[in-house]
Amino acid sequence: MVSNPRKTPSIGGSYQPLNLPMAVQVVSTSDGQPASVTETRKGRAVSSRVEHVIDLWELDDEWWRATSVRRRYFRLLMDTGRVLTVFKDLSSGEWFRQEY
Amino acid sequence: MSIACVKIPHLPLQCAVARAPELRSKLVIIYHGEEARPVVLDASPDAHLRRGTSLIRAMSQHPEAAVIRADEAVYDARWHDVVENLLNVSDRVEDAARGCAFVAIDGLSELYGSQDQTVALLSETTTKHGFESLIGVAPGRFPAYCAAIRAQPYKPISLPSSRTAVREFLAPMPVDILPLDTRAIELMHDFALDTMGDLAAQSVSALQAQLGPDGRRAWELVNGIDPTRLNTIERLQTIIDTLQFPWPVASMDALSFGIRTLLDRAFTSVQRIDKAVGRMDLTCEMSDSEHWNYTHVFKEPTDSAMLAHSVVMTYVETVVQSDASPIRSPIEAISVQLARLGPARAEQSGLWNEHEKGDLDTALRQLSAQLNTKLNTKMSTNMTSSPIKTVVDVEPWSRIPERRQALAEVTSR
Repeated sequence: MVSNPRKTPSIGGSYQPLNLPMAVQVVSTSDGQPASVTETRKGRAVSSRVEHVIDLWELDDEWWRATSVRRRYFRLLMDTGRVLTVFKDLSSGEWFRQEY
Repeated sequence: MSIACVKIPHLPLQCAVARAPELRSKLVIIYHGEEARPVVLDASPDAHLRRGTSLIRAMSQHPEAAVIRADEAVYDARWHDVVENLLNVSDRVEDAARGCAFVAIDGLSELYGSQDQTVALLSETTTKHGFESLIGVAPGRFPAYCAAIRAQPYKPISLPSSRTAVREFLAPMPVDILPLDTRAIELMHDFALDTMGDLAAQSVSALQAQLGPDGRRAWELVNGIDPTRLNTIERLQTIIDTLQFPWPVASMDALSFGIRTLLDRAFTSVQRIDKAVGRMDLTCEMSDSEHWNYTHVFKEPTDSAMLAHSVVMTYVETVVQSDASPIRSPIEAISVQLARLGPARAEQSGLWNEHEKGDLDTALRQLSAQLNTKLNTKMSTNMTSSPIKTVVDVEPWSRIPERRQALAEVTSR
């Protein structure tokens, strides 16, 4: 008899989401726009300044679920010439980096 | 023979309250049946509604009631769990209906100390699953049932083995409980035989003359004679596996891939013990907490996950396209139970073998073995997890980026 594993879902590693948000530190201006972004790369904090906000948009989805998804995305041109997409989680106030 | 009847009154209602405790203080109506004509499956005792009453009628009588759609897959699964546990107490259990089981307990006093302790164990079994049960013990199946319906939760009724005592116990009970044809019951009421005591007072020949074989059976039952043997169930070997999606999926591709992954895994267990599967039960848990169940009995036992997958997906695609589709919201988890495991049947291989498929499987197996060995020496990774992954489109249209694609294991069979 195989014991019932229904109560302990066993999937875990079999189905793994891609492009998960990665936490970053953002210093924002008084109007809420990011001024600088600090990422952790290979255990080292790397900061870069925001040169220009290319685009911004909001995402409000799954409002029917217990935890809805409310985010404000910014596509940023950094002083290094790199284009970075970050978002602010409007529920928790935390910042994340994520390709869109 | 000493038989215990374990009855869980209002099982659907108890399941609904367990899921949403705020319903405890409300009048609840649970319905099922076709969309066009739903009927009551269960309701709070205070509602005084009978099973099968039209939902419209029930709602007009109780406009304040909380109305819930029945989730029968859950009720069946929870009842199945109870029966499985009853089998731990006695090996002779009859699953008479959802919410009613008969357990042969004679001889178990030696094992558990006394009959009372055996009955207490049965009661604990249902309490452990969060159910209040009614338990009746009697020398036969029918009197045990009658004792159970007159019992109170945690206060079982045990009838003595003497036939006179059983007859006296049954005497005030209505004849409607007798397991007979409705026409025979109506005829008894026409003759003013409303209680079992009224029936017991008649001669067997008089009842037989009016009601035929039903008359004799009725007379025997009300006099405490029930030689019916229990139709006991066998504990079958089953394989159960579950796959929980990281988020609710609504695309057919993602669902198909999930089902395939799950079936691959479950059938690998079947192949390991060199068996074939006769029956497959698939349950999908949807994001609105409802369940959808699909059962398939294979014409010939199989150990092929591919065949099982094609059977399931053919059915799912048909169901999804129908107007009254039971899959109404995204799916959060799927589970499969493989039962009726028997000897594998030999299959004649095709004239044209799938060389490429075979080669790919071999390559995957070799790669998997190599990578697993490396990973294991490096970081003691779980051997059962495949290191070979593939990117699957889950909801490519989703506005939430992490919902669009997922990494799934590729397994060789």
